[in-house]
Amino acid sequence: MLCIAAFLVLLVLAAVSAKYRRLLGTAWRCVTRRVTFRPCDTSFREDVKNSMLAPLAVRAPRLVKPASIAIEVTAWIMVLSLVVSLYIVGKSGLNLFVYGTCNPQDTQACSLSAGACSIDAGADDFGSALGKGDVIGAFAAEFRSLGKTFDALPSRLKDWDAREYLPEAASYVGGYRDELPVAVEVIDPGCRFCAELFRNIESAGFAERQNLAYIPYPIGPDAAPKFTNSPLITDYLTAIRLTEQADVPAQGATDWRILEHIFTGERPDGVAWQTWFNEQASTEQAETQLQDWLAEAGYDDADIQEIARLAASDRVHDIVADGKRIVEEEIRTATVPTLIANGALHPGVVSVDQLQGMR
Amino acid sequence: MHPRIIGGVRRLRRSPAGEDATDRPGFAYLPADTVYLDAACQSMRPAPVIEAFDEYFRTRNACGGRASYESARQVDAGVADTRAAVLRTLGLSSRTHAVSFTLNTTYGLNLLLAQLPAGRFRRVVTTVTEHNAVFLSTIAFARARGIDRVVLERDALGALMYRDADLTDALVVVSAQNNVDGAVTADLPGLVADAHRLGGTVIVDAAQAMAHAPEVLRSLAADAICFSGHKAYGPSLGVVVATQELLRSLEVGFVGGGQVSAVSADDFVLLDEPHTRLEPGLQAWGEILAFGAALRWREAYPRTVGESVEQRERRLTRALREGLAEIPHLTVFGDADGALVSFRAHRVDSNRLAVFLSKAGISARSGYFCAHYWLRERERVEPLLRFSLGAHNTEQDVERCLDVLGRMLRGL
Repeated sequence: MLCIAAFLVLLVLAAVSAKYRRLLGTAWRCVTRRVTFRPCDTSFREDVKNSMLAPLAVRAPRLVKPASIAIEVTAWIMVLSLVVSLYIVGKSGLNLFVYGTCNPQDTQACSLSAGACSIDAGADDFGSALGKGDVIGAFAAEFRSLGKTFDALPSRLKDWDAREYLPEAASYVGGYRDELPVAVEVIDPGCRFCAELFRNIESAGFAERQNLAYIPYPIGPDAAPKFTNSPLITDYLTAIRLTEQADVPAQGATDWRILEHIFTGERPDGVAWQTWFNEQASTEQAETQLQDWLAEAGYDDADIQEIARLAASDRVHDIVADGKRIVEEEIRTATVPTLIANGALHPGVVSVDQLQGMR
Repeated sequence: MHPRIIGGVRRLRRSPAGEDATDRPGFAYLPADTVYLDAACQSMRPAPVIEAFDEYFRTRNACGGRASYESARQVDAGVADTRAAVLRTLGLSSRTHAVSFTLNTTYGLNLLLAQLPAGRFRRVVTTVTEHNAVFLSTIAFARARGIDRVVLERDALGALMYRDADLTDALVVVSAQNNVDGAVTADLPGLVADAHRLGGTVIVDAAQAMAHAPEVLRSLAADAICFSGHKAYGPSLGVVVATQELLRSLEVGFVGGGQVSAVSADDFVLLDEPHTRLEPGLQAWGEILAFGAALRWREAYPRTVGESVEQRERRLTRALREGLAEIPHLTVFGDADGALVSFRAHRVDSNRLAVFLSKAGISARSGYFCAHYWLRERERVEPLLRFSLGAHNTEQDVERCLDVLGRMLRGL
């Protein structure tokens, strides 16, 4: 390990000083033999160690042995750190390519990724499993995650057609227009990045050039969603879609109007509706607010009760579950929002400029 | 004591009598804190040698052996003086022997072996304790000639163990003194006599003996003696002293300028002087002249210092050996009364110890000293550390070496 560690140090030194370059060549020969499991055919390793220990041997010979052990341990740590670092860099690069974020478990921890909410945040990763003392589980989680990334790799190279991922009773901004291409976004009503994408779409006039539909995807298990009221909102949005699929109101689809409220609107007290749904509203309050918006959209009490009944029905739950299946098994994205448009998959928030460039 | 720098040229401080006012006679230019203990590889050069070398380049720098201008004649005369000094040192006559210069001992041995008459020898004989110059060249010789190679054992006193049949029509290549424990080959004259009686030829490797045990070479009737100037206080130079008969018998295959008296379209006539058989092309004139100065310096040494070079070396080495016996955790290899001591430290690898000593200002060799077959293959010893002394060393060097080594080995 010492020759590998010395090579790394020399690599840096040789970059700034020519006098280390010959030594670097010797170290490289030693490293190439070591990494191919052959013994080093030069005395480079011993030369390095001896020259490090020599000053100590002259002044305090008794410290040579412990220092020798310390050098070996340090070399091991350096090399293992390098190997782990290379693994993390490689894996992060692969994740960035596949999912648009170097850390699918926590997209906001990756400065290179577009803003997004993580779908896998709840799953155990290497660090958390190790923190619980589950070493085997930690490695299992790591390899599972890596395997999942590799599994998703081919899909990122294909030509994406949004029509293949439309949910049942898809709803389009401004209604469906035959001459326009179809785009689909995966959104969670509670995710602030979905709100950001929504605003970008509005600014870019994207929905005027595309038949934009969405798959509502409340992140997390039903029993413990990432955003408390997202499942309820999803159920209502789906029920509205089912109700309006045959006859879209003249003023536009009600589900999109509700999304506009959530993503862009504010309460009278200045709190954004999305924040209120996520942090302040109980389920009952949330449902009342959704019903108020339905009334505002022209629904009478009987219609609203029908929407409420439908939102709680198995029919809606099946459609929501199918939407989640499409997201997890077919699109296989790790981030919300995700936009399928222009023949490609775009994880995370897409900028106004990018959206304007999509035809 | 550091040399004074005058006009950009290092001038070596010497007394009016030509002797250094120092406890390093001939080596006053060496820094006081230099403890160089690798004389078996290459000796330090005394001041007169360095000056002779410097003088050649500054005042003559002429082409020897082929020119008639004055400085060239002076070079020729100096080279002839060096040849004569070599023969004088070995107690040999110019009527029977000639002196050729080469690059080093290994080169000289190989040059001789490669040109010995084909079919002359039934076997080549050497010994288990030889260093690579002898051991490898005899392997190559046996392969090239398709003959047997006999590797003789040595008895406890270092004498070779052989039967008449081993030496019959044999080429015997043997060292006069080894470079691991400094043991001289016992009864070398007896071996030479036996080989000659049985039709054999003897080439002696004197790489160590010429510097540290020249008495075993004096008047030795070997057919050739090879040694290196740089191990004997001279500059980098090889020397082959051979009988004129052997030199004239060589089937010269390495040939060029300085060796021929006439050249035709398809043939050439070799010069009559036998030493030219091993001297193709231009020679290292500066080195040869400086080696002559080394021999003269050594001749004069006992008169000015009161003891010979080899007496000084052995006196200091005995003191070193006695001191090593007091230091724990080491085993001395061999017990010969030479100019070097090899040993193995029990708690630290010799190569590492050599680096540690170097950091303390002590230059010593570690490893197998080109005697891999003997030490690694046969004796299976771990790498050794070798202190080899020369005329430049002092009592203070020995004390410092023992002090530093003792502290290290007690602590490591």
